[in-house]
Amino acid sequence: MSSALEKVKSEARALSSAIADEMFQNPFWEHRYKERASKHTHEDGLFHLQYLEQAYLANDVEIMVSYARWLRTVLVSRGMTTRHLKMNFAILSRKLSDLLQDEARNFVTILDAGERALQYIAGPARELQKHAADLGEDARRMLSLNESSWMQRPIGQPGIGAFDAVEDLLSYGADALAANNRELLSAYARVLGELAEDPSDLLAAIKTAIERSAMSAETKREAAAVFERSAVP
Amino acid sequence: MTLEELRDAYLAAQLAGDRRGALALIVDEGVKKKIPVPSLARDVIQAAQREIGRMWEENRISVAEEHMATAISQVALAHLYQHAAPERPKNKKIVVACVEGELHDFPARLVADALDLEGYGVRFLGANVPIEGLLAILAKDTPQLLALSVTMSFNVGALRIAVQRVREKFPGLPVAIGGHATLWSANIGRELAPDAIGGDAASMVEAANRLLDGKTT
Repeated sequence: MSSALEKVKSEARALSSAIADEMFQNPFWEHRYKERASKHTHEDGLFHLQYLEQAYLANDVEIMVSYARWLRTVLVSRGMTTRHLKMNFAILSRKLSDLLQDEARNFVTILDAGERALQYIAGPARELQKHAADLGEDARRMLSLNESSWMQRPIGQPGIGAFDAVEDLLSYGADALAANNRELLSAYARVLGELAEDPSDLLAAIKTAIERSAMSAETKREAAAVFERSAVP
Repeated sequence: MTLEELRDAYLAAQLAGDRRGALALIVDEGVKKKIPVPSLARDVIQAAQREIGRMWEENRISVAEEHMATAISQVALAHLYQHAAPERPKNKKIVVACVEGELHDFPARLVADALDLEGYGVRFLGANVPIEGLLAILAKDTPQLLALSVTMSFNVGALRIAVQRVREKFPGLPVAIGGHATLWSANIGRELAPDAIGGDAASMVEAANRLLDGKTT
């Protein structure tokens, strides 16, 4: 066994805890999942490392690719979003780079493949993901111009600042399109309302950003409908 | 009733926790209607299990419901086995086992039943077989083929150890591998170079026939 892999295995619990510590800065986790939040987040972290180990040993990123897509189905159907899983992988990549320096390269390559695998393959979900950064920027610009109360919150506040809230809503929106299930976005909008404040401004700004974007007519129509009908009554 | 309709009816019985209803469907709409046992195993029971797995992934059923449905399928397979007429005995032994740590034994069970009906003498060791226990059984039973099953990719490490240790101790024994984890990476087959990789029960039977054809105890 390589010394790098030995180090990863010996630090597995610490790495899993590091992922959980960063993720839990977002109050969404404890609010939504209560006492299960910590247990499942730690378990997931250990699973990521087990699949990472097997992909490393088999010299095959496909193991991580298959794992990422399978896990996304499991997590999205349980109230999480693709962006959460991407963040898990990104945090793990960073922690492994800190731990292993140059020896982290192969592990990071595998995790990058896992992250890329979370791009939907086709259709409105893929297009929304592809344009998410621009849509988010446009939506936040509108929120500032309209002096939305969301922009009075610390923008970088994990989960409930304007930056994360918009990015998460866009991610839930893509998941809702992929699963043909608007409730995936609506449910999160309700939780955001409980945690922070009414997200109607955010949903409206994202909807407008979608409508004036360069995406295809089909995507604009379907994505705008998802965001409109997810507005908190 | 078509096979698809039978599968759907069987699945509905599973989800309702109706064990007797599920068995009655298999017997009355399957066996008595002369549908071959391997087809009932593959196209009804296994197909329903795949759907059960998908439903759990999509959070449409709970873990408890998934376990209940799988328990019904274990009983259904055992029941189906009694109605099957095996081929003439081939006088060759095959050991089928899940690697250490692997708790999903249903796919291996399907393989064991299929090989048994093909006429092989099968020793089915079930889930999570410790490597030392596996080596002891192989020493005692001296099979002509070992089939190892691995479903979860994080158990591939145990598969590597099992293949290596078996080859060290029983260099002439052919080893076949199979299970969902072998589908997630083609490199596993290239790395371990088993004598066969079986994607399902039918392909494992085919592999056994190919590897053991003409060989005697």
